Amino acid sequence: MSDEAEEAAAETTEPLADGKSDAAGDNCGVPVVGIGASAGGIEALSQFFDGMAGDSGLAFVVVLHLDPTRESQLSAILSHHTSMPVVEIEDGLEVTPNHVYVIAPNHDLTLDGNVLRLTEPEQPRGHRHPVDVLFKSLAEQRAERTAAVILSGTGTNGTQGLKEIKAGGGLILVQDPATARFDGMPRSAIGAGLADHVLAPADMPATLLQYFQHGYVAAPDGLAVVRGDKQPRLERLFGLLRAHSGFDFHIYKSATLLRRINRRMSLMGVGNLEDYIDRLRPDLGEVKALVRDLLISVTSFFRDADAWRTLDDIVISQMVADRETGASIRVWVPGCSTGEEAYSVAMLLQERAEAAHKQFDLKIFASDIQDDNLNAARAGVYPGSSVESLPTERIMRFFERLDGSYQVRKSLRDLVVFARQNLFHDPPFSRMDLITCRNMLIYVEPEGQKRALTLFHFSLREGGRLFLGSAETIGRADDLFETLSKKWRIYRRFGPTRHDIVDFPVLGGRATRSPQSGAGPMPEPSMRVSDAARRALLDRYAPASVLIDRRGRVLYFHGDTGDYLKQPNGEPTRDLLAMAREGLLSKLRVAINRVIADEQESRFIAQIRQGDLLRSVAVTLSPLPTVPPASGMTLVTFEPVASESPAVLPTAKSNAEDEVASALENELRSARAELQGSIEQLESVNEELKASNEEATSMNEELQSTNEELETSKEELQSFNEELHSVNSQLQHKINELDQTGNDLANLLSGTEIATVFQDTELRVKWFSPATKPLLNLVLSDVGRPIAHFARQFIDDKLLGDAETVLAKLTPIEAEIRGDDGKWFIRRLLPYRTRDNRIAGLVITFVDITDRRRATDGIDEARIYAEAIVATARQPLVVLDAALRMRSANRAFYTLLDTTPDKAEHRRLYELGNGEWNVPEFRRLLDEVLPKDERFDDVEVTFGPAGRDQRTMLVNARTLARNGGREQLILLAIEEITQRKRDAGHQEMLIGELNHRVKNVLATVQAIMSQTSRQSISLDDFRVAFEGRLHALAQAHDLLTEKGWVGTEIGQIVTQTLAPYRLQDSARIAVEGPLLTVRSQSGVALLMVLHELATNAAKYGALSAPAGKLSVTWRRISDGASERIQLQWTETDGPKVTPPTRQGFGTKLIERSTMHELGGEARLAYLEEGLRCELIFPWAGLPIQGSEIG
Amino acid sequence: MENHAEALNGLHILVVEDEAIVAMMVEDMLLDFGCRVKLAANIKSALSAICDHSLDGVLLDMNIHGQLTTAVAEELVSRSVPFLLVTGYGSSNSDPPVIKTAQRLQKPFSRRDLGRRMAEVFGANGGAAT
Repeated sequence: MSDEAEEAAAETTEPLADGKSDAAGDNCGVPVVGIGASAGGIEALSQFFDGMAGDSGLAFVVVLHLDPTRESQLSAILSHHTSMPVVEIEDGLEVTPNHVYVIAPNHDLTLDGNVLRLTEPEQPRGHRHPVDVLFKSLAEQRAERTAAVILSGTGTNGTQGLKEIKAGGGLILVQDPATARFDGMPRSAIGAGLADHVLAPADMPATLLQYFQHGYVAAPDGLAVVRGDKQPRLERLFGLLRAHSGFDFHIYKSATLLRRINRRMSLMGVGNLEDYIDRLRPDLGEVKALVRDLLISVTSFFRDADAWRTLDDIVISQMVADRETGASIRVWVPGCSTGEEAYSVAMLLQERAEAAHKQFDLKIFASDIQDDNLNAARAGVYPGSSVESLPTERIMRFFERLDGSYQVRKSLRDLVVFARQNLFHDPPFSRMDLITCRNMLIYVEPEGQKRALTLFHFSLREGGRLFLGSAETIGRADDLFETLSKKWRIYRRFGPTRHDIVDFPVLGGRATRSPQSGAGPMPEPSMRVSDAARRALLDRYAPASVLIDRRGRVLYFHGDTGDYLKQPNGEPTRDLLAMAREGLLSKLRVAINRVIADEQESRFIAQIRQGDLLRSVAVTLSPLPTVPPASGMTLVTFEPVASESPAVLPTAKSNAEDEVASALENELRSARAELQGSIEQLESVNEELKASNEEATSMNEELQSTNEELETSKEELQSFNEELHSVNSQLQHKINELDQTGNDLANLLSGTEIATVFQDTELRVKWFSPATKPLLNLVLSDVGRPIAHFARQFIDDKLLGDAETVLAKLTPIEAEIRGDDGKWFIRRLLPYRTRDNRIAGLVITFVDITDRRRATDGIDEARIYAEAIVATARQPLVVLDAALRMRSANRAFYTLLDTTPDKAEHRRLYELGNGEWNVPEFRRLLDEVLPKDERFDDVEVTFGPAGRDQRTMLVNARTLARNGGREQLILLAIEEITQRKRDAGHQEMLIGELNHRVKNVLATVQAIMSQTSRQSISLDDFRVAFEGRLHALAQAHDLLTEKGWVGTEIGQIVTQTLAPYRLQDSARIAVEGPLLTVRSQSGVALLMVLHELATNAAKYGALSAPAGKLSVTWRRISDGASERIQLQWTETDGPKVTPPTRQGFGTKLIERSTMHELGGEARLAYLEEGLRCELIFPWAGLPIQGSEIG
Repeated sequence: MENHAEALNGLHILVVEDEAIVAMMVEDMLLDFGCRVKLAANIKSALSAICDHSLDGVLLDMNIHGQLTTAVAEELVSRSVPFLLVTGYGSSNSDPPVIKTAQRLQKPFSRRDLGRRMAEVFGANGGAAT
């Protein structure tokens, strides 16, 4: 507001000039558009800049709430949407038209001339309002040559700054909340009544351009020029405003008014006043908007902190210190706007009073002429930005936090009475201790200021304080106020009440009052008689006197001063010197000066010429010691002095004859005597008349004083009346509010269909909702009857007992009851608490829970159903609570765990059994995976130590519906797959083994083939030998397969090998040996060896001749430590044997196989009668077959 | 193949194989390559052969009389004697590390396969590298 203040100061001396000066009026300054946005702002900014021409001549400054820890990409994003250069702000950057400036994160931004300043924010994070900071500086620096744009965002940031913009005359655009992604900031701005236009971002550029091209902004200097000739039209405008709104704007400074009217014109896009008035006539909304704009003022809590500190020091603290508990303190805040100042005073007084442990009857009257303001003030809800600058203790003590804004606590709100009052038209309040009226006088013309100060003088009690705005002074009213703080504009009323200058209307009509009706201080009622007596005495004995102040102005006339004083020509005056008659003036002036200087009584005698007569008069000037010397009051007394020189000179006389003379003398004597009698008679009548006259005079005096007294009382009454009026309107307002609340509550209670009965402490019905009808059948006339008297249409034996209990213990009681019609209710008994926490009765509510009951039954059924399914399922199922404690489980689960329900119930799953469930992997699933995914399926978990006791489970889990606040449950379905797992493992192993064996067999086949081919002479030879060996191998495998690859009995091997030969000639082949089983591999080797021997025998040996014989025998040789098998192959009676010259393949195979595979020894003897072979190899001691295989 | 023969000529090779006929075949093949051959049909003899002879390489059957030859393989690795694991099994995760990382020769193999793998693993340049 400092610009406004300067403006005001300028206008006091030169009312015609538009007071805008220095930076504020610097037309060279680039017009700046400030844009504030927060969440969702990027989108809105993009739309805004898409529609904004690149050559508008404007500079745009964007303030966005940015994350201080991240680098901003905002400038990059915006440059896609505008042809203007987008610049990130650095400290000291100069603004240039057609540029977009973007705030750097974590800074406050202000404009200083044409230079942008970045500062560290003062407020901690979370309390910062960078948008407010920018707007405030824009308002200070550019006044109307700026525009503020509020876009999407949460919170109230910007609203406070917008007030400054508005007061400065700038344009305010707010994004239409319907188009904003987050509408907190726009709504806050609109709610505060600050938006000039509410628009979609895309529509803003056109409005902005129109505004800046209008004469109001483009050429503000033209204002003063057009002013003079617009005066008559302005009069018409004022008339129009008064007709519609009742406000008379004559008293306001016309320069300010014109500027604000011009602003409205620019918003409407109207170029001249004539057109604007025409537009205004039918448009009530615009009239309202104009009035609101004309009356706007900026106010905030503890505005000018230093001024408030001073006020606190020299006024409030002292006031609190001087008064006793219980005394009243009365404060008036005229022009309170939205109430911040009134609340500031209230807070300060409250704090001081508390600190001094005193309680006062605090009365703070706050008045304003705008109902909107008053309603806002009464609600006491302020945006966070305006409150958060206060110290935290104050916020905690006096405010309640409401979602982004703050509300003044009720205790404080109750201290302040907000009333609609027009300072200049309505009677003032009276007997105030303090009036704070800040930054209102600067808007009114000097004449109005004078009137306001006079009124303040009247309203303040003797010695009351006046607190004005920093740009306001008491001006020429220094006879009414004494300065206490020059800098912070704090004054004290002095001198008696001045009825002569107070002028306010009496309830609509204006009081006419003679300027000479002055009187002393208000007479106290008890002094009336003595005062009257005193007056009479004074009149009779006291000489004519006047009381003057130190400036020689007459304060009081006594007696007939007409001989010494007279009113000069022209305006009435109270200046004693101006009134002094000729001859008195010079001596009087000297004497007054002397008395003021010395404070000593002074006396002189002067000659006054009155017509032909010269009179001597003794004048005494005595300073009044009883009054404080500062007042400088002096009593001037006029006393006539007996004349020494007769004014009329005697004339000559003639002679007469004696005779005639004596006769005449006699006659004369008798006539004289007669005359004497008449004279005496006359004198006595005269005396009587004189007495009557004196009586009448004294009565007159008395009447006069009574009259004055009445006059004073009347004024007092008017003030009281006004006060009552205010209080009444406040009460009315509260009654309306209560009414509203009452309606709301009644509608709520009947709308909820919850049967509700209020009762007093005697259980008599106080109020009931319509929904009680089906339960108690109450009618209106039943109010006041005890609840026990009514027939209940529900079954509730405990109702009265419970009611007594609730009243006794003050705890609510609930019960489920059944109505006669089968419905179910929750009957709830609550103590009825008043706001001051007193118990004034009971509240009974009946909530219909029939549906819920039914639902519960349904749920029960479903539960039984579900439980039955769980119980019958063969798979183990268990339900756990959120802490993994057992809730329920089916039999299969208990079987699985080998436990019983009573052992397991309510225990944690991990603790069950021997802790075998306490497996990290399983815990991880339940503790981490489940809470996140709410389910898992077919997860294999192994329990127990590796080995035979290890068990594998397949676990499925679900968390069960946790919506509706129900406790979370976990369902586990478990399937033991240990056996299946084992089987699968075995199978896998078998396949691998098979593969290995097949490959081994193939390797063997390959070896047989390669070895056979080495020693074969012809292909036929090879084929026979190869087939034979392959067949033997196959046979060996047959044998092994038959026994499951576990072991083979030697007899079987031998029989099998010799089978082809025995069939032909069984008598020639003898086979004999015990039942012995060898390992499968040894079996194969043995079979291969026997095969070689047999083939050889069939080819060259015993089996090749018809008489040849073969014996195969075996036995176990035990030599203590080890056991061996000895197998004898003996051929006889065959062809004659010749030992081979070289070792053939067969021989080699026999030897090698015996040695390598059987781990034994083969001895071949080529005896003449036949081949003999002895195989000796260790026997592993396999049990005999039969018990082996299984 | 001739190249293999050249590379393998004169190498001293231990064949650990329990099946006599396979051992015979391998022996023949190795002799054809010009190797000197030593046979072992069980683990015990294989281990003693390793200790007694300075070997240029070993053909190790993975399974001897139903027993895994892991002990032999470990002995070979610790002595840096190159070896080829001769087996019908595929490699499996459950195998011990020495088996898992060993150079393998799949049964059944041809003479050519044997020569190539041996040259790779036992060859003059391959040396002890596995």
